[in-house]
Amino acid sequence: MSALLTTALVFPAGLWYLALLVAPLLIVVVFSFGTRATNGGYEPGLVLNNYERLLQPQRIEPFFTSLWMAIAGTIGCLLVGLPLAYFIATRAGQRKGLFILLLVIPFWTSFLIRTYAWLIVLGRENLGGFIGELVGDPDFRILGTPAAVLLGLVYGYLPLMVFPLYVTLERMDRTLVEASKDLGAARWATFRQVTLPIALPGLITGSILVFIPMMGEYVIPSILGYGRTFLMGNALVDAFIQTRNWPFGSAMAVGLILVMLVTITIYVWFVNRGRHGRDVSVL
Amino acid sequence: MADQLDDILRRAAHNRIPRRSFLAAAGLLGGSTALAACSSGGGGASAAPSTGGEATFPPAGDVEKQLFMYNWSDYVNPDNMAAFQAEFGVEKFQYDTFANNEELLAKLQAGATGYDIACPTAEYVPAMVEGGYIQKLNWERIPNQKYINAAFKKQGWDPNDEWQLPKDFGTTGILYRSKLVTEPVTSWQEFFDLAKGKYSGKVVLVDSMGDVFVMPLKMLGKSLNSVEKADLDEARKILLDLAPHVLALDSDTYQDKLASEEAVLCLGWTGPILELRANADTADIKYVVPSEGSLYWLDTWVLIANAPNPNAAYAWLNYVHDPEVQAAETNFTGYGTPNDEAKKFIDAEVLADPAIFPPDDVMSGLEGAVDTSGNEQRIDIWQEFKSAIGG
Amino acid sequence: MSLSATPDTPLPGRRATLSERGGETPDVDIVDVTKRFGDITAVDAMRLSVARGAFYSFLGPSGCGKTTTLRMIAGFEQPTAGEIYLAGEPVAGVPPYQRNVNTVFQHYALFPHMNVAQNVGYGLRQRGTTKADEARRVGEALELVRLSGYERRRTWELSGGQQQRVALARALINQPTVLLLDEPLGALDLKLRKEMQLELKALQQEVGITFVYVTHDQEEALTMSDTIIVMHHGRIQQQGGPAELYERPVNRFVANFIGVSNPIDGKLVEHDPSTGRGVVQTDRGLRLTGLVTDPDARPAPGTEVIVAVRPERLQVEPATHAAPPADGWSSVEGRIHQGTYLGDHTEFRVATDIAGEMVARRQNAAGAAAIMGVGPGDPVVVRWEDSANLILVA
Repeated sequence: MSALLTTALVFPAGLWYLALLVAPLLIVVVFSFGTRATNGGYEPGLVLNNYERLLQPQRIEPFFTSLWMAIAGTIGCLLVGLPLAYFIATRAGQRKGLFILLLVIPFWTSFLIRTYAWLIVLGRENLGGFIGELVGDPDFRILGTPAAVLLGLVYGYLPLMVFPLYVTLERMDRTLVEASKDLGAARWATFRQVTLPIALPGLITGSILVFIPMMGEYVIPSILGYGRTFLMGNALVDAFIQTRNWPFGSAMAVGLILVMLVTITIYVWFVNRGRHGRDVSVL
Repeated sequence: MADQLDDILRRAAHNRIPRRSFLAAAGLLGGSTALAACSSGGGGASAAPSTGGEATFPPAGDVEKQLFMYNWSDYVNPDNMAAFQAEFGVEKFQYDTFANNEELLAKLQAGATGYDIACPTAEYVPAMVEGGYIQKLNWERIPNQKYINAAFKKQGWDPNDEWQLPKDFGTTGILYRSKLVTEPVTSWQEFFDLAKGKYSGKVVLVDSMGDVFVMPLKMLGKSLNSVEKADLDEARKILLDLAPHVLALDSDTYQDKLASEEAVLCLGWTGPILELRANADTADIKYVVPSEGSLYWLDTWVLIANAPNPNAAYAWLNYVHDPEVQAAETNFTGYGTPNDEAKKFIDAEVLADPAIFPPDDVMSGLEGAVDTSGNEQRIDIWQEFKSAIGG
Repeated sequence: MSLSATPDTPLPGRRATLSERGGETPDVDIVDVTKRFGDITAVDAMRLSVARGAFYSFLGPSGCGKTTTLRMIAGFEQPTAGEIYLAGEPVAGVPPYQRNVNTVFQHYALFPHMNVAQNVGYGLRQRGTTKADEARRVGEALELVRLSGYERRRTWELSGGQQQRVALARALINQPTVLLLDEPLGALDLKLRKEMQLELKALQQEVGITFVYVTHDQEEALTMSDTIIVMHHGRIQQQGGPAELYERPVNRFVANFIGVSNPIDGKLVEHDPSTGRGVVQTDRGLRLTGLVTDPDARPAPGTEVIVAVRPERLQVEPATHAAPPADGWSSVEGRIHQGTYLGDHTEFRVATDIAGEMVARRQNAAGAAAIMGVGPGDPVVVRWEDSANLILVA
């Protein structure tokens, strides 16, 4: 009876997973072994050719570019997001809601529009030119550099880092910090030994939340990077849009998923190892 | 600053043909593609191919009260739409937009059958035929097609003129700021030399494989559609040679980079010319079709398979090529028309613009694009080129 | 020991405070400390010395300022005015992690990401104690709180009482000058709380460290403390040993907060400051002799006072068997309103014309037999000795 009820209640969620997560993934895997139809798209097949092409040096490069940009972006989000989340959770007092709102409001605007806005802010008529004058280099520019892409990545995904961090920090018992200080740990020692370990689940969640979309990002490198920083997302767009080679694009997507899985596994293992091997569920 | 953003967004969203642009997509256009998403009521019959021998056309009927069009943004003169509605009693004229041909293809592939008319670029027509997304045209019902210049007929994408009605055309060429680039720019070779030399780092290319390959292949005197390995090997060298000097690959905002003088040389399309020319600060913009020859593209009208309003669709296809109506289209879009009779009514300034209507000798050097996107060597070179730009 | 928290003659400062203690440096010295939060004065001009090795309790209702005082000693709050000395050193501006005091928090505040041993050793690690030394001392500390063998356990696997002991061990291992305890038993159930009270007291005697304990539970304070500081509205009401507070409450607040008393309104008619003896004429014609409990009070004749009498000092006798009136005794007539048998004693509520409703408690061991048959409505006589009369001026 109750088993039946449980089944009935779980069924919609299961269907959701099946239809929107498992099935598309399977389709991508199946496509990755197919061939490109004459006029583009997918033709059934069972070839490894798409994966072989992935291993060409010029195909490997964007993987690494994406990887290090996403890692740098995640670290950037962490460096900005952790103090911000800490401030909102512990120091903002009555204005917590306001700060959260300020963080959310930009999300009501299209991502594309916000990225275009950076194009102007960093442009030669504004910040880019200003810094150029300061350093005395008329050709100085921010746009079209990896730094601009990195900035865009950090800006674009920061809230995804801040929210999980905020939630864990906000839930944290504040007297733990007092207890630590009471036992002789100064501020930084307390942060390192108490606040950070307790915020770790949020930190891991946030890092994964920003890392994954950064690995697939293509709008920011196109607009702020002037197409000079060529990431996996751009390679995927080229495969699906410019060349309409779905099987090759699918192989690339499978490769991207594998790279992300490996990276995240290493990351989670590494972070958990730092917790003296204590058993902690991460996600 | 807010004004600047407004300008960029307006152009990004309403660039007349943001060709092969993927960024200007639905996010910016509050775009009403809802119809495509929810009107697959027509069912699986949509993919029924209408091939084989002598085509039999369904009989003509009364013009329906509505018409559903799927098109690039701002690509039809609204005055003509209103006039058409009044003349034929079409109460509802739905105009939905796509950002690129791939989006159009994907929508049709997904089974959207609610549309009557769409507007792909010619090289995409074969894929639409093969997919069974469009139906053959009954020329008896489009008498105005007689005004189409023969140069646009029986081309590779539609050898028997069965599937598409030419809409308008444009070219790929060189845009440059003549105020800043005083050297002559008449050929791809000169473009290449200047880009590598004096104007290194001030060069923008549109982010479009087919268009960028035009430069090296034409410099080599080859067909821009070449898929010969030897040709492409040579083209690769030229592209990699150019890569370090490129400022940006940008299909969406290259106009702004030219306007701000961040870039002075550009491999691009004619789209931004009129607006840049209209502004006193950027009136020195020049557009050149290089002497080695270049690419011309043709956008076409097609009739969707199982169109719900075929009579209204035919009424529109014929109406739009009425010379006076077509002239209003040209004046509005700023793209060349294949309709010779319409030239009589086009604004003199537009007609005299070599960027829009290249002179005959230039026209003869143009080559229509074939879909070469399936060639793996091109794709590999393209990716290598893109990676080299960053490094 | 002074009965008064705020002597009439203000002390000139630190030196004088020290001299009061005969030169021995108190563990904690609070000199004229005031703490305000906005418009609210949480602690008002407090002056207090905590002697070495004793068990002190701050007792008072919530909001009386007891926890704020504790937090100022720990360093979590800074006084708005005044100075706190720890072992003779002023600690203004000294952060908590540089003070040699440790706190046991109300909800223990055990680190959830550490096991028992890691929690207990936390303070030692901050001082760079070697691993071997840490392990040894953690073992000792856990043994002290009877938790040997729990080193590897997760803190949230432990019962409330066990968590409490971990918190104690974690604080004591640092050998603080003073151990501060902020209502540490509040979260435990009654039986466990009673056990822990005795255990805490024993532990304090064993380690000899000064305990400063905050509670709102008078029974808890009476059970454990050497000295209780009763607080109300940010001020110390009275300070003294448990018996002293119960037997000689200096004002109505203390008399009511600690134990129960029968208040009788009246006017002071006589007062001898040298002995404290006073005579009160009550509003309904009773003349009561007793002790003016506040030795510093100098009430003028005619001052309105209250005479408080503890319930266990009242004797209740059936009117038919009542003892004759005697010198040094007061008696009033009344009728039983309610009698409640409570095992070891019986509580009577007696309605009297002269002193209103009076509550009396009689031990059931002896002398109870005579009253056993008495029920509601029966006439009785309530009697008590003059020594039971506590005259409260304030």
